[in-house]
Amino acid sequence: MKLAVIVFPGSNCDKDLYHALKITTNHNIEFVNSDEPNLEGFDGVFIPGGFSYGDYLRSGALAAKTPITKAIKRLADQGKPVLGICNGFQILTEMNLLPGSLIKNDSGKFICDTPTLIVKNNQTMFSNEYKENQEIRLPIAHGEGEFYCDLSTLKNLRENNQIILQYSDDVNGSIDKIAGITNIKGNVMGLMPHPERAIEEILGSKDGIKLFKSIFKSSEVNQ
Amino acid sequence: MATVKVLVNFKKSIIDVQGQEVEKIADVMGFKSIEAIRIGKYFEIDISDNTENKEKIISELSEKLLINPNLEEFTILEER
Repeated sequence: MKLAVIVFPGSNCDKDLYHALKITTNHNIEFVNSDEPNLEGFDGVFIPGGFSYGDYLRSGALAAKTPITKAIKRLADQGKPVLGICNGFQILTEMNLLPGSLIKNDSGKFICDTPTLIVKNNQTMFSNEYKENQEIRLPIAHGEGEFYCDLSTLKNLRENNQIILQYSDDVNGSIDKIAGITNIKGNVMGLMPHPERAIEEILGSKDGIKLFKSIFKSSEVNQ
Repeated sequence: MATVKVLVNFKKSIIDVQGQEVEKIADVMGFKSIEAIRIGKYFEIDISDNTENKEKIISELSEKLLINPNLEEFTILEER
């Protein structure tokens, strides 16, 4: 299995994500630049956090139109895992691979915290190592993390069990306290919290490990 | 070359957090008659004169790139 960590101008969590993958799997991991139009031979895509294109225009908007995104869409269509963290989540919504949008936190503040999250659905390739309704702690660091969608989209997210992670308290104004969702097929996930920053005791939490382990467990089952 | 101006604003259903904060400070400064401030984006787009359907192209650009249709709407202001 070969995994791609996508690097946009302004990505700044790419190395952390690479490190997290390195310690949770033996698969090959490569950095792939966003100018690259091709992801042939890759079996999974990881879109890191940061400030791609300086958040110009809207967070994730310019990154979502780069050559790599067509290749990411092709992999997503094939059912391969695609994970976007923080800015990666914003990019996936701008690519229309995930519904909804991330807007400025309702407090107007940039939030750095390690909130408690609830695993609402543990039946996905990103969450099967967790227990249903398990409380976990993952760091957040975002100014635009309020998940917004219209009510019919919210209804669909609920009915299709696409809400994977919820904040246990309202931290940023997100509708339904949503912290992470998948697409309807369940192979594309976006989340604002940073599982790659919660993989070693010294970081304050190891709760992020299971998210990565879930992906590789499911992929191995599929192969 | 023609220059087309486009304004992008949040839809009325979206709370403009930045605008609210600017309004609060305006109030602190004593601008008591100001009731609300909304912040939008302004684009000046140069487009070659011999382009047919300039407005259509600018609309398409706005829909596909300049706005997020979940959140925003655009107005083409003028062509000069």
